[in-house]
Amino acid sequence: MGKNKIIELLQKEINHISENNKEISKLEIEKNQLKKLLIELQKIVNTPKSIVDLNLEELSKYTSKITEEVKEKINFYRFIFENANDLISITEEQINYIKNLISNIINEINDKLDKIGNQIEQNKRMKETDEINELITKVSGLDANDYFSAKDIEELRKILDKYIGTDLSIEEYIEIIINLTNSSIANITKGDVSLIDDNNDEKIEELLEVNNNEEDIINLLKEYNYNFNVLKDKNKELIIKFGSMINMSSILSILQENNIRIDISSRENQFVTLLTLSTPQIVNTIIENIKIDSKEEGLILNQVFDNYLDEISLFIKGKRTYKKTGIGGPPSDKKYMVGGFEHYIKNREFLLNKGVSNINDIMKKCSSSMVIAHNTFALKFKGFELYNIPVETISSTFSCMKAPEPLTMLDHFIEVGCFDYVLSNFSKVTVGNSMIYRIIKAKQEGLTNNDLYKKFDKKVVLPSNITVDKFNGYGINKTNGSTVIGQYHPDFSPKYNEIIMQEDNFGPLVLVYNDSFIKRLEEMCKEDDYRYNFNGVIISRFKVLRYYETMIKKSIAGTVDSIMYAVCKDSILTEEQYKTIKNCVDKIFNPGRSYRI
Amino acid sequence: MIDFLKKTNINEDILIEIIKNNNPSALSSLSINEDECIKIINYMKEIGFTCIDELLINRIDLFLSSFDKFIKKLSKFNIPVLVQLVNTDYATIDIINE
Repeated sequence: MGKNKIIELLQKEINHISENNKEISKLEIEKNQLKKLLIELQKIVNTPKSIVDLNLEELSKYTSKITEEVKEKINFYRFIFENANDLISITEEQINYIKNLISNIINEINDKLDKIGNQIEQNKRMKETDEINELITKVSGLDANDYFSAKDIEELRKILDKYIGTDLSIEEYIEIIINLTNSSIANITKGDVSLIDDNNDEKIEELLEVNNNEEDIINLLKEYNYNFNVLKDKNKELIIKFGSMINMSSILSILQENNIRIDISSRENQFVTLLTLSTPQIVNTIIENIKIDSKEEGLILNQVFDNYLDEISLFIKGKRTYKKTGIGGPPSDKKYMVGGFEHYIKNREFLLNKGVSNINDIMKKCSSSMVIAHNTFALKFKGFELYNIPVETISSTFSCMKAPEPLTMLDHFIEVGCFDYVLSNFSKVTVGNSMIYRIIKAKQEGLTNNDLYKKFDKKVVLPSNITVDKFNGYGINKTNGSTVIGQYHPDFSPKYNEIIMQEDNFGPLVLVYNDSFIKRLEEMCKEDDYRYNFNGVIISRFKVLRYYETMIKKSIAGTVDSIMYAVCKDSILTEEQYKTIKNCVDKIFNPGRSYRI
Repeated sequence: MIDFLKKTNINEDILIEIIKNNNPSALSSLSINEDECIKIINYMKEIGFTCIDELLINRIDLFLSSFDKFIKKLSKFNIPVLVQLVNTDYATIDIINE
């Protein structure tokens, strides 16, 4: 039914979208440059003398009106402006020439901006790659009882429409749509009704009682060499009351076909959960993914699958529970299971697209990271990329993906001089501020990294009176760190925080590098890619850049006060350190002069 | 959902931290692994781990494993040295997965 053909076309669509997204970024950059240029040009129309500051080479990139002849004229007028005296001065005619020329260029640039705006809008209307990846997953799982909802078929139809006549004949197209519809109807009829509604994330799916015949269950499990009688009474009852015979039989068959045997002496609850709350198509998809993701020769599927069983929520889609009965629900006293299958699928695809292919290894080290909500997962990964954290470092632990404020913690470690420590123990981006306060206090008492660091194998470790909260090292508990180190809280206009808090501030950094304040900061204070040095006070460079990027976008940048805010935001500083930064910034930006963009 | 941890003397504050620090799917998986998780915690106490609270909050995956698999991972190490190291800095537990 052309399954491979559909996947090939969907993949082509993803590539097309990726190219488009790159195009959007380029267009956005160009749009911003043109807007800045317009401001500059408008200034010239109002005050023709300001043409002396105009960069003609830069302008000629955006208009054909700057010919060699025009350049010569403008250079001559500039000369007159710069050397005007009683004998030489610019004439009214020359001023009109400048005004007309610049006004024409402004019109040309405005037309360009309109076109760019339209192009951006058009490109933005394209589907997100995530949605297409979901369609690919569904096409892949169609043989294993997955299904296409009417919405999915409509989405797929829209995509395939584009390829009719080039990659797809009309006959092939009709055949694909008819086959998909028929297969989906067949699978929905025999399968799990909970799959029909794709948008029921918040809805708790309640499994209805089916009340199987106990003998049938005993025989079914026996057929696959599992002994029903060794199960706990609670689990026996769950299988009898809620296990769909068709589902359980298919799941057991898929496991057997792949030589996977679940050790029910230690995995009984997972076994029962898999049989009752999962579906054959989910189990099949995960096993197939394990095989695809295996890099090693001679994969021991049974062993790898056991790591996946650790995170049993992976095998469940959406929120699911057993209908309330006297036995009180799933194998524990919880109310419902929160499935992680959809997040796993999206996170896996995301990682593969990022070149991270050791998914089985991640499942061994930190399976819980794979069921983090996809948007959060992708955002955090993007943040780490912004800080140029090597993929190997991220995938060495993956606990880092669970950090509530990972970039702020990286900023803290950079600012207290322990960036090498956090790179060696990357999961430490999950810790709270009290550990940072202890490092600061230790350093206030004269200790250096040499005194604090201990080496173990390739790892750098810090002493337990710093890392373990309950030891209250340096007299610091979870609440008093700020007081103990004498933290100073600079006073900034609340509008900065109000705006910053509404954004994720995770980049990308597009506008900030062209900003005159940042250029100056880079020139005067940049120590390396990660640090600005304000006369001995270290500030995380990426922190400043990402906050300032947001501030430019929100039109609250462009003052010494705003740059001070971006520099001091989230930093744990004493008053003395704040004053040192303030002095540096004042000197760098010369308060008498306006740098407003 | 994870109230069973109280059986191992994990207090209410720590339970809240565990819930705050982990997503609902992982907590669901932990609740399913109750028996094995209790065995792991009791064993860790026996061999001298003093940072079980931190590990539960920050390394929930350790407790999603079967007890046998956990023991197997630890058996590659000199246990007293490992325990001392992890008690110093809980993040070093990651070496058992390397």
